[in-house]
Amino acid sequence: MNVSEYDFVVIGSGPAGQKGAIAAAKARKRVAIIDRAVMIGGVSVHTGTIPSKTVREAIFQLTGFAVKALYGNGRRNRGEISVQDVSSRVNAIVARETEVIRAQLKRNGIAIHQGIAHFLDPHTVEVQGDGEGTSVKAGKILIACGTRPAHSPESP
Amino acid sequence: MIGQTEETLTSNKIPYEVGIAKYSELAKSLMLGDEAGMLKLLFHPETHKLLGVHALGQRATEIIHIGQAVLFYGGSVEYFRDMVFNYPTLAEAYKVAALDGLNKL
Repeated sequence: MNVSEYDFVVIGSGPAGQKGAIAAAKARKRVAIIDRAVMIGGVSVHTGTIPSKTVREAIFQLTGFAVKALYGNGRRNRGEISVQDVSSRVNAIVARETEVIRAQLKRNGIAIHQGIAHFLDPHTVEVQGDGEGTSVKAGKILIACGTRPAHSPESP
Repeated sequence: MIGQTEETLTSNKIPYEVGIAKYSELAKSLMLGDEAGMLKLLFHPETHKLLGVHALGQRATEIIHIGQAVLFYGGSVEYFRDMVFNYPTLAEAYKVAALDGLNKL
């Protein structure tokens, strides 16, 4: 098993994990960040904020929805709009945003380990599924792996 | 644009630093399909006081007012660094430009 040592390791590459990793790197610490390869950038980039807002914006643009009231329904015929039209826009922007985040981490000298983090002891984390069986050691580990929705029984 | 330009600051011998946010770096402008726009902040390198704001691109006419208010009340670029800006928005360009400029000092 490969063992890499750092001052600071961050689990999760969403907004909180990124900022934590970059702040530590700017304080001249050796930093690594762990996340699944398909999730660099976190929920915000892959399933939440960016996709939902891009879908909305793409539909506005493709249908001319925002200006329909001015010109009347049906006056702006842009042909049939398919789910593929919208999802290709979304995929392009998700890919671009992922690259922006990856470049930002690299520019700050932060190592990226791709896989699922699993604690072996309080200062050692195994990266599962990276194909190499890497484990990382750090004095401090930030767990920034996201949230779950809170469901209240009072509001079904 | 509002406030000073690099030319007026240079001719008045006022030192300044520049912070730039390119629209190509912003999620919102990618969604809008504008990668050519930009926001430029001019500020004093010691006091960090905002001296000028230049906005080019989609909805520049809207976002310029954020800079107008900060300039009028004599604010500094730390305002943009420290305040929360919604994501993804074009207004977020102020934060990106402030971080760019402060990183150069």
